[in-house]
Amino acid sequence: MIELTHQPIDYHTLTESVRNNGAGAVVLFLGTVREFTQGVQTAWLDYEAYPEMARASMAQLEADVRAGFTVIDVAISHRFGTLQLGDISVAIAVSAPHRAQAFDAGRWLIDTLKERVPIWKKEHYSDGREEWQHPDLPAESLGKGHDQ
Amino acid sequence: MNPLCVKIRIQLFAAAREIAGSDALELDVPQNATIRDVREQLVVAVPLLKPLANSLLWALNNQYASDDRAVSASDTIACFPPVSGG
Repeated sequence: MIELTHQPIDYHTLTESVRNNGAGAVVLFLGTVREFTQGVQTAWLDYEAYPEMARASMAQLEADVRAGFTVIDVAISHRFGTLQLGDISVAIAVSAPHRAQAFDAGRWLIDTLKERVPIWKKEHYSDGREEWQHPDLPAESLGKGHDQ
Repeated sequence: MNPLCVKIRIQLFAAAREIAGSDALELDVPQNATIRDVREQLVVAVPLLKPLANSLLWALNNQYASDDRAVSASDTIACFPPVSGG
C-alpha cells in the first residue's frame, strides 16, 4: 500500500493493513520532525513533493522490496505540506515470517526512500532562517536570499 | 520557432522552483536534444540556476533520466535538486 498524503498519517491503520497470520513479525518505522539538529532549533518543516513521480517511485520501492526480501506485506505513507515538531513525516510498516526479515526490509525501505523518492524538506528555524535540505549540495549553490 | 526545434515544458521543484520563481518553464530545443543540452539551455534562460546546475536531477515521464537521454515534446520533464524526504 502506497500513500502520499496531506493529512496526519494514521499509523495504526497502516500497521493493521500489513498484519497477516503468516507473519511472525511486524515492524513499524516512523520518521518524525526533530526539534534540534546539531544544536540548531527547528520551528517547523515544509515538505514538497513531485506527486506523480513520488507515487510511482514509492510503488517501485514496494515492488523492489517484494522482489529482494522475504516480506508478506508492505505499507508506505509519506506526508507533505507543513509539519510541526513531533509530527510524523513518513511511516513504513512491514510484515514478514521472521523478525530479521521484517527489520531488514524496513531498514532498506526507509534508506532507499530517502535516496530515491522526489520529496524535499525545508527547515524553518526558530531564529527565522529557512533552508532547503539538499544532501550533497554545496550551500553556496542555493544562492542568497535564504536568510529571513 | 525554428522548424527543427521542439517546445518542451520543464517542471521545477523545491530550491530550483524557488530560485527560478516559477514551477514550470518552456524552452525551444533542437530535435533530439539530450538532457545535457536542455540543462545548458536552462541555465542560459535562468542564470540564477547556474550554481545549482550540476547537482540538478532530471526525470522523464516520472523516471530518473541520465544526461545522454534524448527528450521530446511529448515527454513529461522535471528538474529538481537532490531529494531530502523521509
